[in-house]
Amino acid sequence: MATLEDKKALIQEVLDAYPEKAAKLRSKHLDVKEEGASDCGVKSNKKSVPGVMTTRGCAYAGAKGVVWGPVKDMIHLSHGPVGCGYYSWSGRRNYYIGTTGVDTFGTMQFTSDFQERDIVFGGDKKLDKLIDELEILFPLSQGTTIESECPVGLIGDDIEAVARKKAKEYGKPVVPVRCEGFRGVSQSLGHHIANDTVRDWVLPKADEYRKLPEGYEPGPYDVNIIGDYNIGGDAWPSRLLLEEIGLRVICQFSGDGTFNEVVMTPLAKLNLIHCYRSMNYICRFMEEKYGIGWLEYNFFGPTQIAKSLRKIAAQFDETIQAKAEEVIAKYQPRMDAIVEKYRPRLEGKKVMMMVGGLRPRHVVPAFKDLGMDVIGTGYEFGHGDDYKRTAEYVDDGTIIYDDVSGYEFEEFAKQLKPDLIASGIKEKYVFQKMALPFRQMHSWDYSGPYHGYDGFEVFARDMDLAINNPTWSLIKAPWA
Amino acid sequence: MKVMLRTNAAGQLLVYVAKKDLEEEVVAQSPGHHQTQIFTLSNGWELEIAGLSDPIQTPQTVEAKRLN
Repeated sequence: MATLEDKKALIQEVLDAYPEKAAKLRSKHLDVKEEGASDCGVKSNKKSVPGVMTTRGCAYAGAKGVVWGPVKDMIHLSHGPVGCGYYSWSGRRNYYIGTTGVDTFGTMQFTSDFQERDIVFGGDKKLDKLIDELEILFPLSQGTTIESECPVGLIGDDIEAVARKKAKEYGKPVVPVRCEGFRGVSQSLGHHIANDTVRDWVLPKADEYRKLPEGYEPGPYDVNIIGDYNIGGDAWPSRLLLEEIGLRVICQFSGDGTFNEVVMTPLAKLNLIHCYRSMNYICRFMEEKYGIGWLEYNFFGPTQIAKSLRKIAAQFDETIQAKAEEVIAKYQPRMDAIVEKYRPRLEGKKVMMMVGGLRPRHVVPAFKDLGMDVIGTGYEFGHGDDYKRTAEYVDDGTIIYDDVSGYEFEEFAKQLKPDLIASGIKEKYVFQKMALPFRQMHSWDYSGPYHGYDGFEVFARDMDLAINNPTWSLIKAPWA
Repeated sequence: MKVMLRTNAAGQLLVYVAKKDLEEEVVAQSPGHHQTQIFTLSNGWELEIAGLSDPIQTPQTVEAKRLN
């Protein structure tokens, strides 16, 4: 598998197994990164081909699980039948601080549990009553979001009217999120819908909702962390790093974040966005409306952390820039020690990735820091702008697969023979049975954090544990 | 369609189309009829936009018409 032609031939070979029409559709989503190309040459954000296994979620998953779910002191209501909420319950490991059930509700699941009666007669009355009950049971909640499931959109309930009425009654925000699962082709539209509800239902009333801490003075170094979901505690080392270079983080939007932080966002000087895919919409809005610039950063691996810290510091004055250099210099010896320890054990190992959001590109440099090569990568639900951004991260000759199907992923793995697969839980056991070391990259395989200098230490250790585990010598790969 | 005009860090004018999740650089700019401006994007699209100030204030959301 050395040359570009070999890899193109491999893609063709994989496609040959499909019926003609499916092969034609899928061929647009598979390609090899070519030299000098400004994007990855794949189409994206298209409906999955019926009949193949895809790992995509739905709009509800994007709105409730990703964008709104981690806002910890609000109640996020799965409005509709019980299953959607139950099976996505607390699956993303968004860590937070607080007393669950009293002032924070991150790992709790609220649902209106639709029955036949609600479908026939409409569920608005039930929703009304439910919000009353929530107010009695959880008086310290800072608001409610209503994430509608498929049936709510099908029967045409007016959740907006209920939301308006209840918001007035209790003086707390009630945000209706029209994220019915059938909308769009993946969870990506759910992110967009949820961002739009922040724009339409929260930010216009931000001044009214905002409770400023005592003695709060706006400062020149106020920034927001946007789109860091605190998976396994990711946002914490990120925040510490930013504070160390002298910035003041006034909001962690959706990673250990509160509703008050969400309404604080318009007061910042700069939005620092980690997951571009899920939160760029609100950043673009804030840029236009409040004149707050936004900047993407990457806190995976020492090379990118240093680069990002310098990029962020360049937006501020010299004191911050000097501090950024100090911080980078301070951590460099520790990073060198980690690389020295793990690089000999991981040098030259090949990795295939398939994740969502930002990781298919952002994690690549962290692997490179450890001497590993990413030979294939792809997004579950990325769009054209993601693949454009990916081009600068990956080496020429990397196989790019968009919304890869179970069959394609397995075939690629058999032919390319990677030493590690980094993907999600649905792929994990398939590849482990093929005697391939595996790390989940959605939830960091119950480990983490992976962001920041502290996170890189954990990342390096985990990759070493996965690849050099003696278990793998006990089973044979099919091609070995 | 609604498009957002913004300037990137390099000072290049960009057009962002939220509905299409498309962000492209403006590679050419020429005056059209009735005080409109025609932008050519890096992906080949031509957009006609009316009522722009000079210099163009960014970021701003404007109504654009696709010509090709």
